[in-house]
Amino acid sequence: MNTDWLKEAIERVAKQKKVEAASIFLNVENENLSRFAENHITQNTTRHRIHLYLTVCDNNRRGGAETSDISSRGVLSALRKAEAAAKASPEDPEFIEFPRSQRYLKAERFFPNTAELPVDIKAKFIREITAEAASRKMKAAGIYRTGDYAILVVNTEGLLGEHRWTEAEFSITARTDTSAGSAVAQEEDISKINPQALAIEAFRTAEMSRDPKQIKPGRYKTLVTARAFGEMMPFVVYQMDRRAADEGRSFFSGKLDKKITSKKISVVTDPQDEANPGNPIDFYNDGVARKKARLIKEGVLTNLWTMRYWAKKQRIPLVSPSFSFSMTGGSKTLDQMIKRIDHGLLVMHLWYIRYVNPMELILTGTSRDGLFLIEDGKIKHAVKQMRFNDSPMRMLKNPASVGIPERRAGAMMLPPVLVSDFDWSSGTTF
Amino acid sequence: MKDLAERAVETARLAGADYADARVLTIRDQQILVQDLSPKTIQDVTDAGIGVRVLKDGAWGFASISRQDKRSAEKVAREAVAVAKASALTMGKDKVKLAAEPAHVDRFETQVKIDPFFIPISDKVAMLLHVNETMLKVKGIVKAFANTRITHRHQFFASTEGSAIETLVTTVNAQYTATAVAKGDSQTRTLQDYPLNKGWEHILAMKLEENAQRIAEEAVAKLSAAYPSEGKMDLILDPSHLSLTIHESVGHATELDRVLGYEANFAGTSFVTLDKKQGKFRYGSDIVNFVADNTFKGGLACTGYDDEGVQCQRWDIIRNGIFKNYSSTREVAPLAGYKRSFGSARADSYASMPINRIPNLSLKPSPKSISPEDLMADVKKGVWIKGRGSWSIDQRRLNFQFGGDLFYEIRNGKKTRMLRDVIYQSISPDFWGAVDGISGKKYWEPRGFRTCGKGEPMQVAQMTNGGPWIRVRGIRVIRGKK
Repeated sequence: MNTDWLKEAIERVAKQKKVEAASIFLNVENENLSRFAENHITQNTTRHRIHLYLTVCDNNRRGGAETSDISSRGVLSALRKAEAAAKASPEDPEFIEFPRSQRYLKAERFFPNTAELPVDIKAKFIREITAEAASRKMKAAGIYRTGDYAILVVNTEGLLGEHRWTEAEFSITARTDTSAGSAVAQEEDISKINPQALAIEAFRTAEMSRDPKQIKPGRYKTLVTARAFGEMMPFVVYQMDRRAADEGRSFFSGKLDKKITSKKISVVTDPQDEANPGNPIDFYNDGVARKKARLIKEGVLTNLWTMRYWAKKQRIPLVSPSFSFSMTGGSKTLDQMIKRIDHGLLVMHLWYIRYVNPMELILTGTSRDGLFLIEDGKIKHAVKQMRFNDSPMRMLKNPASVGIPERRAGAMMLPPVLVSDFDWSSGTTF
Repeated sequence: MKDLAERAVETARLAGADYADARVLTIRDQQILVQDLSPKTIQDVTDAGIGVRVLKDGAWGFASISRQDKRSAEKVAREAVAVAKASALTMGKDKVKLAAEPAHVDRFETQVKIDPFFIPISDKVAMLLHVNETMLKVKGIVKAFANTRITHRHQFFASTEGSAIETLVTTVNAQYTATAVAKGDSQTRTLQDYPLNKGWEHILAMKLEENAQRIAEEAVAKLSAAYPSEGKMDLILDPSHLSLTIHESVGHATELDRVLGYEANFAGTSFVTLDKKQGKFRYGSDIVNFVADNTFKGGLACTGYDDEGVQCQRWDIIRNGIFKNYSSTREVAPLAGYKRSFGSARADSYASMPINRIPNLSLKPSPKSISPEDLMADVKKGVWIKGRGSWSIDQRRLNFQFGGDLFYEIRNGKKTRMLRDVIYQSISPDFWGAVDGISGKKYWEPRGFRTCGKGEPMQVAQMTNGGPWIRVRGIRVIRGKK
């Protein structure tokens, strides 16, 4: 599927439509995911998916239909369903028309070597790694995923856009009788991922995590790795909605242009960030072009996601929502940060994070695959897993230290963070 | 559909598959979301395709495509066999052996009184707008969200073992939330999602419009409610809350694939290890009985057959507090000594391979006619919790923490003032071991979920986790506030 197909499709829709305007989004996915556990492949799935989202506007009303049938008949059927939905809708007091032609930023995110990796090559990597796990008397589980994806958008108002990218992800959890360690990497370019190195990291953490000791829950100086911090931050980013803030129902209410974090912290979202490129097409705002936006500048909240309707109503700039962002950090490595801790904890990975109090951005979750006691700058022993109740915004307000940012989940550049009093609320038994 | 499924299975067999099954699936999903007085989403989704699963030399291969034609069926069948051959490179002696299941030729259809797709979209939108309008009229409410979702899954399953099963499943649900704001603070209150495999009659029975004002008033009242005192106290939990506690601390913990390590990299493992299947492990108090029942009419996992052609069944998970059985797929069942799978393999789409999911799993009510008031009468100091709030549980399903949506303090057997931001923490078997009161059948409700996430790639599944009211003694309560 390409823009020529899309142009033809919208031309047909333009001729057949009984409404003022129409828009098509096309999502294309070709993915293979090899999943392993207990030292062998347990699932190996290949999927070819195409989904077409057709939206229409008419007399301040909207309707939509989504279909996997992209034949001429399928598109026409979607058009009629979308028209019926719009007709059934009352006038929308928050109606906003489709955007006109956009200039999209170029973000290089397509790597043929990722798209073309054969499934048997992945299986061979997995075989080597699981054999190594078995030789260490460990059990390995994980995934090796590669795929190519595209988002294409067109509307009857002159907008046309296309973005193609690839993704590769390798993750592994190694288990002993009493412990586990894990590692994960996600990139557009598969050559940036080294499965063997990740496996070694997981094996080492599992080995270090053997025979964990129970400690009393409470507030501890805690070094949160970039991976673990990256698991908390989406809950912050999701809350960064301008309308929710303006309506008084968000942590960010009344905080725009105010200092909310340490001066060391700045956060930018930029599709063209070379170290952390993102999708330049804003799906949530009918395909408008994403632009660079500064969310936090030296601790001051400078922007929040602003959707098209709210931007128009409040006469403020549109800021496209994005889970792809880059945060500033410090110059120390994780090992250097550990060396400066007299007594504290190191948490490698967090699990099952949920809001406890969205207005205070307090989250809960548990540690997983590596929680260690640090004494006099060295890891002393593993600790049984614990539950936290704390806020990433409180952590950023007064961090004892921040380290070198690293890319996590193929979307976030962010540092490890050391806090002096992380709240470990309760313990578990392993 | 039948022809395509059988064509895919035959192509896979000819390409060398030792076993193959195919699902030709069409999902129709209608979603309506209204924010304040603005109809935000009115969308009709049709997702159709074919998924083929094969075993070759004891290894799995799976391929899918979002098309339904003969050429695509053959393409993905051959691709699945090629993928299985690659998987086989990693297999040692742990080759996949499926638990036996008779070949079924059958048809199953959800019993629907009022077809939800026949209700005009304009009526649904008008109802949701009326709900929001009612909530927004309450002083202090700044935001209202209301939605309905109706889904129809039409699937044809065929396998090389001779099964040919057609299933037509309809699911409906609705939910709304009011947000109140005052003095820099905000609270929400939700009429809890209550999905069932039924028709529009279920939505009518929820009395959405009749409850809207009360829900909004409760959201406003939460702003000035007191925080709980912290420490150990008794809890009275209603079914709209308890469903999630059941789901997380019993449902997921007793999925056999987790126990065997198949989810170790993502969803996690389980504390209910195989040694606990000896009939001695105490999961709860004597009055705690959990039954899995995928034949329960209206239950979200009541589909006649699961997604690998195993007939839906009813079985004990916990009896008189003692752990009895897991949920299973055909792959993992033999690894725990079962001759037949309990039929808990589900895929969220033709594009996903079925995995071990929670069945319709419910806590049995007391045989006595005990009311919630009876349970409360014996509580000196405690909290009454309704609805879902924050939830989290560790990866072995032991340490959990739950919030709720509406809380009242209990003093000397009586429900007193409203509370806010109540959180409780426990360890799964400790919690179920502390249950000393369960209400009667009259108060049992089949609450459930449509978006249970598990697996890589992530899949969502639906299941009913019903329950009565319960009383739990001496649970740690904290405030969800710093």
